[in-house]
Amino acid sequence: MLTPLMFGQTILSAPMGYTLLALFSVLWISLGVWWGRKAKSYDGFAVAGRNVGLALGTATAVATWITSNTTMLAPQFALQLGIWGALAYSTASFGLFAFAPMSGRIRKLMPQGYTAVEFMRRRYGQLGSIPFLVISLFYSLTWLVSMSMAGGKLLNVLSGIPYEIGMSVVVGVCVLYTLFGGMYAVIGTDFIQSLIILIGLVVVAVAVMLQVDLATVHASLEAERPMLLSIMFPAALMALFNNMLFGFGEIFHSNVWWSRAFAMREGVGPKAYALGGLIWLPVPLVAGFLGLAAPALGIGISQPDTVGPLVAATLLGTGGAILVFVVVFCSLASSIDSLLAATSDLIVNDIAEPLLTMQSSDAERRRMSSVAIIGIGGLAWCFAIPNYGTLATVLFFAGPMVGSCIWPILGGLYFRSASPVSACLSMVLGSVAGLVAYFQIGWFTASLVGAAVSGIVFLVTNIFAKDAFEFATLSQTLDEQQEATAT
Amino acid sequence: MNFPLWFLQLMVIGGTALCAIGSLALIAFLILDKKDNQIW
Repeated sequence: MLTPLMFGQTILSAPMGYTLLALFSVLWISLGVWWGRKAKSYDGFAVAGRNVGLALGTATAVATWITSNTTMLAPQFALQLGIWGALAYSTASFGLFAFAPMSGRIRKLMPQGYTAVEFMRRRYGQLGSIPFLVISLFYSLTWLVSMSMAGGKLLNVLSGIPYEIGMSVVVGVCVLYTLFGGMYAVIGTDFIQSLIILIGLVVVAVAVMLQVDLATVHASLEAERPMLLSIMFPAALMALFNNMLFGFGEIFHSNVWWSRAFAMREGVGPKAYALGGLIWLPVPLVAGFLGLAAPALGIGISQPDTVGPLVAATLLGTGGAILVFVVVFCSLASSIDSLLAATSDLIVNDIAEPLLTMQSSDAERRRMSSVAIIGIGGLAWCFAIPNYGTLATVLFFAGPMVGSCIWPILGGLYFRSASPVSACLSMVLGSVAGLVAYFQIGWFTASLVGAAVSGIVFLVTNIFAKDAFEFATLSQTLDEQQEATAT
Repeated sequence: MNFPLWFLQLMVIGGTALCAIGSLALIAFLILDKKDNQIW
């Protein structure tokens, strides 16, 4: 039996944790300032000049989708739900594959667009955009708060840094570099973060395989926890479909992904998202393997949510613990910065601008973005600082809500006949039905029910209320739209 | 009925290989983009 490497209750000493935190904080902020020199105009700040190439486009899709949940929760999923647990997690990559062709269409239909809500407003009017904006803001803020809380908790679990300090540093650093560099900094740091995460996972997985062969892992699971190998594991099978639909809903609706579609050079989006999905797909499988290998390695797990770091630290010593700390910090930063940038775009373009009577100048929009980033970061910090455990679970309420956005978005992007009434009703009724399923049946059915009800409502209402939308109007500038409305 | 050993091997070895290929592919894309001056 291997003895887990521990400093008291953690895998890394607190001084080492503070040193790593300081080093990477300085690195991300410096890069933000460096890339910020390019982000002078609003287009540069919000969508990186709309000229992002394949390397950074692919890396940003991978890094943003690897949250701290992917690296920490996937081993726990595998330890509790077995092979199906790891497979269920990896189905979240299907959302990236499905979004690949959509990103090309989005870029083509709205070459000057900024946000997903802007599309819904111009496609469906207020009937479609208001419920969509509410869902988008709820999802963005709950994801941001849960990531901030995860940051504080993980740094505490890994190195003993107090929750309040760890959480504040993670949020503060991400706010600062996003503030200086906008989308340039977000996408640029994503490239470095995705490489660190992928290489880190390969090193840890190879170390585990050198220590114990897969036949032993399989035999140990068969003897001690046969359920984890079972092909018929009902809860895990439900989790598979639920996770897949949650993933579709998250990617299809979230401005995190739309803003990247607008930022990539024409023709790059479909390739970058498809390749990003392919590179992301194995990440939960490899991370999940750490959970499956724990029993064979004889590593006693008292806290299942730290099984991944514990396995890495036990096999690789201090080097492994440092690697895990860095991978987790990168996973957190790559998601938090994306949320800050994408949500600030929503606030500027879909809340502030429509409320202003005059069209704001480039400099004013840039200033509004900065204020929005600080405001969103501050709001997330305020919600996260009391460390209410139940707050993190609120993100799961978003599952049925984003699941109910799948059909209105697909219909709106590809079919002229998709109508505002159908879009509105399907989002509202799908969300309500999914939330009822969440409380009455269980979390693993919520997105499934939300997406199914929303799809049926969307199809049925569209029979009675058809639209004849002109897609060409989506590429018009604001002046052209006003001129067309006047005539 | 359980998942066979070969499936676990495929999942873990295949997954690790894909992660390694993915990181190499990102570096290769960056070099190609840089060559064509198309990073941003």
